[in-house]
Amino acid sequence: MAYALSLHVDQDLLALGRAVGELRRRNLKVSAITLGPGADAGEARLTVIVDADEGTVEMAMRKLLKVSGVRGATRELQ
Amino acid sequence: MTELLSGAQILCRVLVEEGVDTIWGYPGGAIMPFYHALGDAPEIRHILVRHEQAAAHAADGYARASGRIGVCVATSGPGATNLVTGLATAQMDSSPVVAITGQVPRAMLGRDAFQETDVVGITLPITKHSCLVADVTELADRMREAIAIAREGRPGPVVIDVPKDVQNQKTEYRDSGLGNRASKARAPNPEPRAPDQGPGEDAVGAAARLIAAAERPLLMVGHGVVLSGAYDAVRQLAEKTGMPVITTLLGISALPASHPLHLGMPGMHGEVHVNRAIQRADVIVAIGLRFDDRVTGNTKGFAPRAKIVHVDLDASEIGKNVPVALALVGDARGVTERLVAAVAPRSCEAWLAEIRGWTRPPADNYRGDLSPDAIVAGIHAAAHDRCTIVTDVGQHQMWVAKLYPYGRPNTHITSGGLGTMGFAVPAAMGVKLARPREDVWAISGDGGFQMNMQEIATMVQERIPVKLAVFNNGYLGMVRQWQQFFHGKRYSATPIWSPDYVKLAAAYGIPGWRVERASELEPVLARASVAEGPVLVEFVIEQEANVFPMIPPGATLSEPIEAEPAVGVRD
Repeated sequence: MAYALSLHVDQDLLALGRAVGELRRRNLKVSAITLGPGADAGEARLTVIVDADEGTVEMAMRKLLKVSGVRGATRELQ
Repeated sequence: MTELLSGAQILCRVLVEEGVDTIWGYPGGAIMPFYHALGDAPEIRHILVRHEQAAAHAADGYARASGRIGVCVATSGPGATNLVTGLATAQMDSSPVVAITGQVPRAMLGRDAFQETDVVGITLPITKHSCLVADVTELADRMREAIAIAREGRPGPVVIDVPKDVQNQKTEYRDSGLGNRASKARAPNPEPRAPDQGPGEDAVGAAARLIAAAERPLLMVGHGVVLSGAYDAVRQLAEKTGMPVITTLLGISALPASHPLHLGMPGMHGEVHVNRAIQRADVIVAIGLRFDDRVTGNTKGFAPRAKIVHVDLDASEIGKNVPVALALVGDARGVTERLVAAVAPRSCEAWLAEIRGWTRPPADNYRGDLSPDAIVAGIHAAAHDRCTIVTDVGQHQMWVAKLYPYGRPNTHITSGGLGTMGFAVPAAMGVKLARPREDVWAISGDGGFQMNMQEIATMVQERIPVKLAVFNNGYLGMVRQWQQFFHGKRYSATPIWSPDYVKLAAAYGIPGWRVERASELEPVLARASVAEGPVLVEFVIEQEANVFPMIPPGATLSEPIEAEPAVGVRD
């Protein structure tokens, strides 16, 4: 199943690196990744399309929410 | 009140304000301003190690034994990279370590300058947090934040990387106003993301009902119980319900080994009756553990009959490795105390009798005169229970975990998650400074001991009287055991030569003994026990001794090996 994860992260390369690194460490199958401006100042929006089951995505979301610089995260089944 | 301080002075000042009195490190070019400022901070004792890896392990050991943060310091480049294994060890075992690293001046960053490495990038995946502070006006807050992150919620290591020119810059400094305690700084993402009040009454009540209705309930206790000091609550929960208790490798000593409800350690080298209890249980209450694969074996066959109630501070651990029927997210002590209040008194006599019926006498697999059992018993007898045991990684680690009769909480310290050989000797230095009034034994194999034996020099120079024990079988024993069982007895790269440890001890100016027979144990350990400085005792054991039982990799807890298998090759 494909899920779109939408991450609100601090707009700096370190925070982005941490978030992407977490996805890599959890061995997620990522088919697309895009970066754009966030709603608030100093915030970026990182959208990631992952192919995984619901449980794996749920675990990844919890881990992502612990990452320093990640302000919030939502997911949507594609 | 404000005053003008350099970045280096600010680092020292914050450490003092946060109550840090001991740090471990090694100076070098990019951290020299900090070391210069350290001379004006007599509140802080600096221990000069012989390798930065040892600084990280010692800080880790200090943190685990004291419950406070452990601090290590290194210069840029190789100094910082040498910390990496120690930081990863602390991350895997949730230990609050703060590493301060020097960095090349800001103008040189990104130019591959002498001794420049991207230590923040290197340590991102193995720390709870890492950051480079490029503005001296932010340094105090970032340092306080680093300390807060390390100890808040589920503890973990933090790296704070400070360019040399930032250490030299001056700025107005304002103290936290809180004296020697945690500052107002908080982690950017405080964890766990659970309500501060823990789980709701509904969830606690549901757990109590599951326990009440169970025929074969089991209590599994992990490192979270040690970290939160939930010993009394766990014991009360066990005694009120009669639930048998299993302690994971890092949960060992959370309940006295002699407690009638204590079964032992589960997992790859757990006793058969312990693992069978897991496989037969209908409810498992797991407190402060993360269902590591060394505990579960193949998760597809783990506890097939059990509904699992998982108590953990870290919400992201729930359901990560095994399915959970009920999650109670919160501090182990707080949640367990609420469970104690919620459960109805009951007993599990029939279930306990069933488990006891599976207990079998230890198999007589040992062929030498000096058995691991005798050594562990000898150390226990000599230490009179006023002792903390720090183990390395390998066969000796499993023997000690299974055989040492721990009687007091948090007296067993080892590298569990990362399985870091070389951990015991430096970590024991940290433990000893945290617990100066009790004996600290660092027990290693001949492989792990040789990874960090240079730290004997640190012990001598800094007068840290750790008692060193080396189980010498001439092999990297656990790897050799796997080669024997699963790789056709091809002992590839596992025979390992050792120096003469008695002469090595003499070279460092400390007493050393070699024990080759059981009859020599008592007199040598008696002398080692009363010696005032560091001592070294080598135990020459059977070369091909094995740790039994063993769950083969990929197998379930129902498939133990209890004797040497036929020679074969396994993927």
